[in-house]
Amino acid sequence: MAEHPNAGLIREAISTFNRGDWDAYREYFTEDVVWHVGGNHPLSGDYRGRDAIFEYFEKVRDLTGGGLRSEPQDILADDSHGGVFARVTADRDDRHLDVVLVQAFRINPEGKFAEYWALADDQDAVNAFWS
Amino acid sequence: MTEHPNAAAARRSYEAWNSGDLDVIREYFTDDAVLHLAGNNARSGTYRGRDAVMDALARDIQGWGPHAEVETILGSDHHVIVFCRITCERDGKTLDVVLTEAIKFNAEGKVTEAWALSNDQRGYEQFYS
Repeated sequence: MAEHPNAGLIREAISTFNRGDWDAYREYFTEDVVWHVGGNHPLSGDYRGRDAIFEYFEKVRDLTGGGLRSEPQDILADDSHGGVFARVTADRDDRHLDVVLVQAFRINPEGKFAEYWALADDQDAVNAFWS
Repeated sequence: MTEHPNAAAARRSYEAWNSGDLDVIREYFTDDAVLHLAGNNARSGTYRGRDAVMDALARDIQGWGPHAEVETILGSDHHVIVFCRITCERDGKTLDVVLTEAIKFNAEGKVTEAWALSNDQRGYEQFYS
């Protein structure tokens, strides 16, 4: 079965993120995108607007030396929603992160991400990594 | 396009949730299933084993079970993601959030692990505090 176009979109967006091509990555989001990061750590919370989420990405990049990588394991999509189960790895000083993160997206008719949820399988490990 | 069997199973479990039929939901979990309830409130935590999972769900549903309105269910051979609107009223407080739930399925079509996140974490904490 051919991949749904929105699954292809998510695959491309992750690859753009992994390359660190921020200008290209910005194009995947609506201006008023809302971004939900679960957990109890300094980066958790609800981010509103593209500028706010890119400040969050910059913090993530600065804390991990640009080394956070996302490796998709399974991508699911329909015409208005998508999701990816991805192995996320990163290093920060002597801390190592290796979790499965589920990223769920609401996708608008123009193929832009309008809302996003991030759910980690091991939230305690994520909390410890960012705290 | 017909719905993936795992997506259809998730849809039936949400229907059972709305009708308060926990016995039906119980059948979807493996013996060693794990449920993660996100957040920092009375119900947050990781529940391990089917009995612990069902105890956590039973606490939720007793008396004031939140209603779940499914927006979309995405399914593959190993995973499901549910987008649903959850509404509930309790003690003069109103909950109205969009929740995403991620579910892992084994080869027998049983749920081994599930976790959820709301789109309004502050509202969620206030409701459940």
